[in-house]
Amino acid sequence: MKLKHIFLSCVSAALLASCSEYDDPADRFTEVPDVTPVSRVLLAEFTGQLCSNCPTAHEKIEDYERLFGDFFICVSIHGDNTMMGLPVNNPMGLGTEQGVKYNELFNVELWPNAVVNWKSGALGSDYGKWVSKLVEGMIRPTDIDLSATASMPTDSTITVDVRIRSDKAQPGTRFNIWLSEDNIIGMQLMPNGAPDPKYVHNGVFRKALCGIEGEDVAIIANVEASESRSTVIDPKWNPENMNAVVFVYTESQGVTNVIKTKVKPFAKPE
Amino acid sequence: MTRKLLASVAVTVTMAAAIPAATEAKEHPVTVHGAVQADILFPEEDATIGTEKYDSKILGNGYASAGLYSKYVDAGLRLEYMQYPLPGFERDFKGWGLGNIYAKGKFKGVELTLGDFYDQFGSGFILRTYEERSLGIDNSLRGGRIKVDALPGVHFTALAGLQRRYWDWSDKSQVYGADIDLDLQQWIRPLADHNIIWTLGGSWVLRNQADETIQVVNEIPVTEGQPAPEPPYTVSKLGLPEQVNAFDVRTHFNKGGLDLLGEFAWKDRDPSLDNNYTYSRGTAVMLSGSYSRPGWSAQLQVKRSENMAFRSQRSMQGVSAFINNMPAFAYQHTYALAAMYPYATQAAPGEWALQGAFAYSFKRRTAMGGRYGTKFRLNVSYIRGIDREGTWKSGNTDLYGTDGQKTRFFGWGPLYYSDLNLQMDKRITKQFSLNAMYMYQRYNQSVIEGHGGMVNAHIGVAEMKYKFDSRFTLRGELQYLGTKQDKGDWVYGLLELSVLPYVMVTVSDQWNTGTTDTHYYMFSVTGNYKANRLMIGYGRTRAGYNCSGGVCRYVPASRGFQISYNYNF
Repeated sequence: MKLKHIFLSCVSAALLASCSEYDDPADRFTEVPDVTPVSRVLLAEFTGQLCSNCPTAHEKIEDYERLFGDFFICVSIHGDNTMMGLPVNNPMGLGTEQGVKYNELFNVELWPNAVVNWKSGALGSDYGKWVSKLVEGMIRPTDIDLSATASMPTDSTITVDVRIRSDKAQPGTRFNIWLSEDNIIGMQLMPNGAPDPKYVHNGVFRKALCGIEGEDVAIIANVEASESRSTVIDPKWNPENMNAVVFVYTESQGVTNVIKTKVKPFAKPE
Repeated sequence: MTRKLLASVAVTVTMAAAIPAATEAKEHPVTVHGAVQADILFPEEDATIGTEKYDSKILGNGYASAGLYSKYVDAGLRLEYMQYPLPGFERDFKGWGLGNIYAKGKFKGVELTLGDFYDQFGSGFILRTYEERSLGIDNSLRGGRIKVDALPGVHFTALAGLQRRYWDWSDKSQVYGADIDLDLQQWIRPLADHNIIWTLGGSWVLRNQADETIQVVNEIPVTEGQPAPEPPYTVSKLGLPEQVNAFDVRTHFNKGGLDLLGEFAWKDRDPSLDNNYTYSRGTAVMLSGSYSRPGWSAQLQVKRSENMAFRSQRSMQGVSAFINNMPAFAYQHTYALAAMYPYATQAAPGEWALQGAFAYSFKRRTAMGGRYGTKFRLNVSYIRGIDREGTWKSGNTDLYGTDGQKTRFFGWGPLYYSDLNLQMDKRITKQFSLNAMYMYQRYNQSVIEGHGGMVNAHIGVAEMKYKFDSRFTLRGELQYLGTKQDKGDWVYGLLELSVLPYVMVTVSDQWNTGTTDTHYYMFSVTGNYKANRLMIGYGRTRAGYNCSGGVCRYVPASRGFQISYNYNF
């Protein structure tokens, strides 16, 4: 008799536990109010040409670009052959030594991966967390004005001019300039396990002009800070498809503003 | 004579006085046991095999444990040092400190443990905490556990704790559980009279984890004639159940050579990164039967599991934070080339898995058995995905918040893995013995590794052992793997000279004769002295997967001097 009671109690407990407040799909989502974007946000995507799940991440990024527009800025960082990419010295590879260092800096060990606004930490391929951090960054107002222009003063150099202004002092601020390139045709391993030799790679990280962690910039209230950096164009690059992504950040807040501007092509003197 | 007599008396008196103390100590002895293990690599970069770049000249994992055991109390601790870990472990594995500490009180069939402990309910479908150093897995629970074996035929366990994930015991997630096993033969006399063992078991596990912010963005459709909405999207947060229950029931029957096991597990709605944040429930069912008689045995097992990845942290990736472990249904090979393509259990998407084994020993002095007898063993593993609408894809955000893709219970999906191997074990002469194996393997590299398609491989192994005398034994292995896929064919050779009981010298080479024409050579000397074992070697290790029990870790290629030391006391 006792065994029967125990058995029935266990079955009842199991049945009771099976009832869930999420049985109805309509109860599974709660709309987030006030998601109107007011600030731009930077998503550093960690990707690889030998990463078969990475094209799925690229599809998500295209969705974000379409929905979030200019508020969303993405740079795709490739590593080396230990990071689901090709060796850095491979002519077909999109990895760079700086890309390897960024993977190490953020402890990236799974691909695809992403860091939002420098401070989210590596989010893995959890797209639900990507969205939550992107939205969090876009609805947070910024008190830093940031503008930049990128041009080619010669046919072999790119120069990026940056202007930063705030009505408050911003101690501990650093800035960096990333060059990225769109429309690169190259190999990519697809989700079905087969390589696509004509995959279009966009937003590919090429170089950080201020080192891996950027440089200090003094932002004094109501005083514009100007910075300018130049670099020689690498033979692998196509400057016609290049952009400069400029961002300012602090350790505590992460990216406080970011802007993307196209590199104006070299104008041959008449 | 007098001196001898006096000495004898003195010895006798001493012994007589010592006997009560010795008896008391013997009745309640306190023993101390422990172990030291260190695996060290002096890495060298090797572009040919694609090694990583190393920040440190020495890498290693070290463990030192000690335990005190007595009639009523046990206690133990383990110090771990992985500040510069061997290649291939997850980044959070790095660290050092006290990884395990516990105290256990035992009295009259009741055992109470406080601290870190490992446990398993049934086959591990809903709870299995264990340590597997080669994979960097230690998912022990830190908390309390009570085990009651005071009643004949009733075994009860209740536990609660925080799960270890490397150097973190997150209090944002707790695990609770209870398990009961009943030995029916203790109460049903005819069972005992007929030497039947029949057990019924049931388990329950609860994971309680704080909420997380997981959001989806949805485009607002534009209505013709209406202004475009601004912003053109909405954002929704997923409601995540903080409490997830899992249950397991099982029965085990044994009589003589017949052994039968049936087990069913069920997991509540558990949206997680593993299952694309879907809300369907998880299930696992397993049937296993084996029969053995002198000279032969047969075993057949079948398992179907779906959505049974159960972690203490729902958004975790990688090999860590699993509360449960779905048993591997693929034969665990030890020969190097046979283990080249190991299967990793697909817990989240699920699988149908069948495994069979048949063993037969031909008696000695028969035509097939030869002078010393011959053993044959046939193993078959066959694993397929489950039949679902659409293809399984990680990161499919269209499924977030749904009940997932529809599946059919008895339908099969794509082939994940199959393996048929025939092994022979034969002593040819008094000194010479031979083990041989042929294997045909199909390995869905796209599903298991994310690239490559189906690899079909024929594998042949011959292992020979020649015992010169009681001290010297020479062992050799020759293996061949033939495939048209991946890196093509491989050849493996090994020679090992044992000088008992102290020394063993081994030299081996794994040669890819396919696409890379690369040799992975290794030379090592192993010494054993009492409780000490020291191995020193030098060579290359190819990149690949190290698997144990269906859980796999990617190991990058490496080269360098290796030292491995073990000491047990």
